[in-house]
This record gives sequence, C-alpha cells and structure tokens, in this order.
Amino acid sequence: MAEGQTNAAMVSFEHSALGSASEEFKRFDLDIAVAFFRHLDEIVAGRLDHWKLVEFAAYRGVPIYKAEIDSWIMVYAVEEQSLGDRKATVLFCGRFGRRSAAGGFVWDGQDVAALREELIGARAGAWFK
Amino acid sequence: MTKRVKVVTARKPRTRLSARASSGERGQSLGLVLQHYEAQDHDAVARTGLSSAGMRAGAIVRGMRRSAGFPQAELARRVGVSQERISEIERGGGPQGPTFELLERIASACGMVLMPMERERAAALQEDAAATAASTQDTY
Repeated sequence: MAEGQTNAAMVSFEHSALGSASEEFKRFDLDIAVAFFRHLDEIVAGRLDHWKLVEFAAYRGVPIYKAEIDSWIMVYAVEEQSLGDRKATVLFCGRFGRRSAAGGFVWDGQDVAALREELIGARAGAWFK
Repeated sequence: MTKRVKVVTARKPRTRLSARASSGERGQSLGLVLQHYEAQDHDAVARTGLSSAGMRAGAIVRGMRRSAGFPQAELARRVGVSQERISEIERGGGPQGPTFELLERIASACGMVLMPMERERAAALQEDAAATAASTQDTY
C-alpha cells in the first residue's frame, strides 16, 4: 500500500501543501473530539443517513457536510464506495471566532462561504480525483 | 455528558447521486487522531466507543474484504458472524479489536493468509487493545 493510503473507513485529509486535517482535529477538546468521533461513526455505520442531511458543499457529486458543536466546526465528505461501503474524510476542523491557518489559506473564523469556496474547494479538488 | 453535534437535517432525503470523483484509498486513518486522545485520557475509548488499535485492525479487515471483492454481508456469511459484527470490526468499534483467531478466519474467507508481518501486527494490536481495555475496564 502506498504511503498516505489506508483502507480505513474514517480518514483525514492530508496534503503537503494544503495542510493536515488530523492536526486540526487534535486541537479539539476531548469532549468535542468524542462527539465528533461518534458522529462520524454513526455516518459510516449507516445509523445516521447522511442523505437526510443538508449539504454544506459538493465536489463532483461527493457530498460534503458541516457539523458544529458550540463554536467548533468539522467539515467532512462522505463517499458511497463500491461493495456498499461508506467512507468519511475529515476535510477541515476549526473554531468560529478563531483564525485558522490551513495550508496556505487563512480562514477568519467567521465567513463560512469563504471557507467553503476557498479552503474546502481547494482541498476537495486535491483529494477527489 | 456527551456533547451534541449540530447538523442541518433536510425536510426530505436528497436524491442519491453517483459521485464522479473518488478519494480511492487516500487518507490517514482517524485511528491516529484517536490514539492522541487515548494517550491523554483513558476514558477516550469508552466514550467514543472506538479504539485506535481496533481501527488499525479494522483497516486490515476492510482491505482484505475489498481486495476479495466482498460486501460486508458476504464476508459475514463466509465467516459465520453477523454483518453488524463485520461493520463494527472495520470501524474499530468496541474496546477490543477482533481476536487473532477471527482475523485468521476472515483472511481465509478472503482467500488470503496472514503473513508473518501481519501476524506480528495482529498480535501487537491485540496486546494494545487488551492493554487499553484493561486500563478502561472501570468505566464499563
């Protein structure tokens, strides 16, 4: 298996130029991380039907969602893969009211449309082929 | 108390469209992130219902199954466990991953054998999981 690849069902975005979502995730307080982990697990297990959620964005048909807890935000994509599998990729983690520098982009912690169009757009473009 | 995740729910389900792009097998397992929290707080496993050791074992199982071209239900049938159990294993659910014996049965069902390196990895994962479970047993 090539470096940077995994067979895991829940993964994080990693890119040498566009940043690391896993490093962003690790900034969550434990309570927040626990809740986001459980949320992703529910999505991947199919206990929570992501088709019933409102998309935050989409990239070439891949739905991208936004989840929030208090001021914390996580953006993730869900793919329906072959063999009936589901895969979740965490694309961004941050906090409202805090500037986030993420791989050459700076999110001001407020403008969600800018987050979607700039950072998420760039990361999705690099991730989904 | 578990924090509540806020997501926006649609009034009716959206049309299920086929994506025209894929991440393939790209990505770093979130097990590495979970490991970060496990190192900070032994409650992380009990609270998330997931374990980093289990997630690593789950990725091995998922990889073998996908290589064999089986949906979860087919692998479950061949191994003699429920689909829910296969799903749980692949997601890294529970404080412990699959037993080594079950991993070997899964490999066999997928037409594979666990190579010496995989055996060592599997044994190490079981040790990790057992150690994690032992350190969190008070929470169950």
